[in-house]
Parts: sequence; C-alpha cells; structure tokens
Amino acid sequence: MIQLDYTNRFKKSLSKLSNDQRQLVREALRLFVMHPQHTELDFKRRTGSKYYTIRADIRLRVAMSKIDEEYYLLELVGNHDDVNSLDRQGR
Amino acid sequence: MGLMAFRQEFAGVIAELPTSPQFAVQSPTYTPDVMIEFNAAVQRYERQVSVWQKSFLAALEKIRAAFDQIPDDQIEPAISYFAEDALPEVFRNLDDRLVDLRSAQTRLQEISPSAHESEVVSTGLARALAAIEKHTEILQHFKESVGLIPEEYHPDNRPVGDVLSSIEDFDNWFDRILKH
Repeated sequence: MIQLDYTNRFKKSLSKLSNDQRQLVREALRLFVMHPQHTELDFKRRTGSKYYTIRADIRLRVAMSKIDEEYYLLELVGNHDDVNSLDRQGR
Repeated sequence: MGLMAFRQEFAGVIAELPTSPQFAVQSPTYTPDVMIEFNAAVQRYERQVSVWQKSFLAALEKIRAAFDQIPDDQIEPAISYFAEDALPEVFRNLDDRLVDLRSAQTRLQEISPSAHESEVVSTGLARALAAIEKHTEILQHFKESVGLIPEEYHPDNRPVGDVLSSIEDFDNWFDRILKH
C-alpha cells in the first residue's frame, strides 16, 4: 500500500475546490493508495519535473513528490496551470 | 537558533566555499618541460575539484542543518533573508565562476596542436577539459540545490506529518485534511 503525507499547500489548494471536486480527489487518492498504476489515474512523472501527478477528473490533477517507492507527499491539487506553476516554483 | 545566529552561520558557510578556479590555463606546447608543468597543473586542479565537490556538499548540509535548528516562528524571516539577501550574492559569485570556467574551456578548445605534437598535447587538453567540465557540473548542481532550499523549508511545503498508513483509516485521514 502507498503511504501518503501532505503539505499545507495541498490543504489550501484542496480547500478551494467544490464539494464535488473534493469527492473526486478523495476517490482518486483512495484508488492511488491501493492501485497506483490503475489506468484511470494516469499516474506519471511530469516531463522535466520532480513532481508526479494523478488524474482526479479530466481537468483536475493531484501533484505529489516521491519520498520513496511507497511513500508520496501530496503537494497540490488543481488544473494544468496550477501544476505548471508548481514546476516554476520548484525550478 | 534565531535569525541572527542563522545569518552568522550562513555567512560562515559561504566564507568557506571555494569560489575561484585555481587552474591557470596556459597553452601547452610540445616541449617536455612545458607539458610536464601543464600536466602537473591539471593534476592539482583535478585534486582541487574533488575536494571542492566535498566542500559544496558539506556546505549544503550545513545550510540545511542551520534551517533545521530555526524555531517555527522564525522560519519565514529566515527564508526571506536567505532568498532575498543571501542567495542573489551567492548566485552572482557562482555565475562569475561559471564565466571563468567557460572562458578557460574556450581557450583550451581553441588550441589546435600541430601534427608532430598532436597526441601528447591532445591528451593533456582532454584531461584538463574533463576536469573543467566536472567543476562546472559541481557549481551548477550546487546552484540548483541551494536555490531550492527556500521552497524546501517554506512552512507551506513541509510535510504535515499526518501519514496515511492504513486503507481502513483513509476516510478519517482525508476528512482531517479537509477540517484543518
């Protein structure tokens, strides 16, 4: 099973979502914890980035850092632009 | 460690950083004395680069250790000082060194040994260029790593420490994130 921790930045970004979107994130993370390679999640490392993402819906992504093979830190949830801004901050 | 102590610690770390390549580039020509001197200079430089690599890694650890000792209520001022006052100067110094290295690299690359001295000189040049390349990589790695430290230590980007370790606890764990 995948272990997860999160940052305050993740909490803040989650709090900005609607209830429906939070529910989508909840279900995506539940699936990720048990089946990280499930095709629905499209789990991958972003090109040229230290961050990994999973898909919560067609526009919503959860960005995370890999601590080790079974331990990830949730960094942010948002659309493509939000995740791109994370890359710019981390550069 | 308070902010003043952190600033002093950081100044000490930076003061210890090796900042200047001590490799005086000269055109090697195929005379035994000059080539012996050139190869000895390259060997000294290779040793220095190896020592500097350790120094830069140690400096990164010292900076992180200093951040680790800062109390939570001082972390934001420390990050501001680090990102706005300290890092720009460190980057300027590193960029100056990178310019020096590129210049040394170009001067060496422009040397074209003539046919009769080709092999001996080429070997010396290749070794010097490889050492410069390694030195460049060390500086760039340090620049990148030290530049990420403000993000790494920003309170918003640190792990909260509420680790989900059991699927049975998933909903409680997720609700805790929403409640904070």
